[in-house]
Amino acid sequence: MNNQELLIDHLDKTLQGESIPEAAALIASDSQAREEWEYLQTAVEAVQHVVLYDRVGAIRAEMQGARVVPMPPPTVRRKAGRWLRIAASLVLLVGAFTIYKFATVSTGRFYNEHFSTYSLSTTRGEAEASALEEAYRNNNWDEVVSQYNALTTKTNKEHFLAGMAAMELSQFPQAIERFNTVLTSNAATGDNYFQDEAEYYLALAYIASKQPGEADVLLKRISASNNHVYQQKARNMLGLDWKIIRLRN
Amino acid sequence: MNVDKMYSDADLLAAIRTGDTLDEAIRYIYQHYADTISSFVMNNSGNVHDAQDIFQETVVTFIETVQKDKFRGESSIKTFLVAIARNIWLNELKRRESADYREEVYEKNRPDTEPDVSYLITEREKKQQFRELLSKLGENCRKILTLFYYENMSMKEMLAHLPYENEQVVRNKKYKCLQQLTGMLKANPAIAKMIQSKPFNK
Repeated sequence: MNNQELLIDHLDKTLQGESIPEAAALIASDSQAREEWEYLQTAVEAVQHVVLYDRVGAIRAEMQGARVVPMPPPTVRRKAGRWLRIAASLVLLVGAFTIYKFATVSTGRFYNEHFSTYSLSTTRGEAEASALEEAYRNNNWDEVVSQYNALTTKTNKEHFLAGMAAMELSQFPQAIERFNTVLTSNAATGDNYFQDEAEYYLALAYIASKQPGEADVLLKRISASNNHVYQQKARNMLGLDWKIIRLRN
Repeated sequence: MNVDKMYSDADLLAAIRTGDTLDEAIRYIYQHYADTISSFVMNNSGNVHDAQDIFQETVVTFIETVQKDKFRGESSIKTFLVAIARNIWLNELKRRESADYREEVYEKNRPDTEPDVSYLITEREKKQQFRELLSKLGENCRKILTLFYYENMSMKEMLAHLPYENEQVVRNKKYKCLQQLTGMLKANPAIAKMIQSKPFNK
């Protein structure tokens, strides 16, 4: 048995008796054998990684829906955000522009600037996707509400999607009710299923309903929560425009 | 595991560690965390395909971390997954040389208390090389090595899945396939550099 055969049998745990310490001693004393041993272990690691990767990919394909609600082009939003920040800096320098801001900033406008459609990017297979989710993916907001109302038992995801459908239909009191249901449910069970999403969109729903005080509490809480998915978005919202809205109210 | 129910983090970790219900655990992760992480990628300069790829890599990285007992449980699974996805996406943006996005979206805004998963990301290049190399290995060798090193089958069990006459032929084939893969790893500059730079090889 040559060294490579010995190392492979050691790797496969098929050695017996004296051969086990012999292989261990070879790895400890011989740099070439040590390198060969490293390559063999890496080969096994490679096999295990690729099989797992393919396995996860297969399940992803199984669960992934064919249709995806496109998000607004992020680059446009990002560039807009950059220019808005530049504009905000100018406001600080030019007092006259501050007056202009006071005249133009409104909760409605603020809401329109910050609201974006929530995208359901993945789904279960066709057979398992709920009618409510299908309706949501098709932007059929009335159907989402109808499906939601027909359900006898509802999950947080369904409460949340119904809330988003209400947002799309500008039915903000209903949206507030749905998002609060998610938060109440999580508070009762100790879960965080759709918690971040519900908190963020609830803040937006309060803004659209001209209740900036309630929105302010939520936005500051999100902004202070380092692991919140919408932390940066909330921080971006708590700028000069928001301060003007708060001053007015 | 019934994926229609809610499972605690502890249940999910146990399912991944034992591997007995791994597929159900993966489905559960997709059902409960895919939307959050995919939306995160898509809201930070990624497209739909980026979101899908990053989530797949995130799940694989998470499972490997748990199975190697490297998940310390200092944060929730959701927080850990978001941290992995954020780091993988940053790594991908670096690869694409999108310096503007990198600085604006991540480096200035990274939460102070986010779990440090950078050590996982250093492995990303190696894993990408693995996937490329294995795609060149050949279907037969991939199957043999998968049955032995992933499914943990004995030669006798493998014989039932392969078109060979006896266990000895399977053993010889497995030996040659492992040699072939090891040879490919040695010929890969990135992998060879990683192995040769390990402290005990100096």
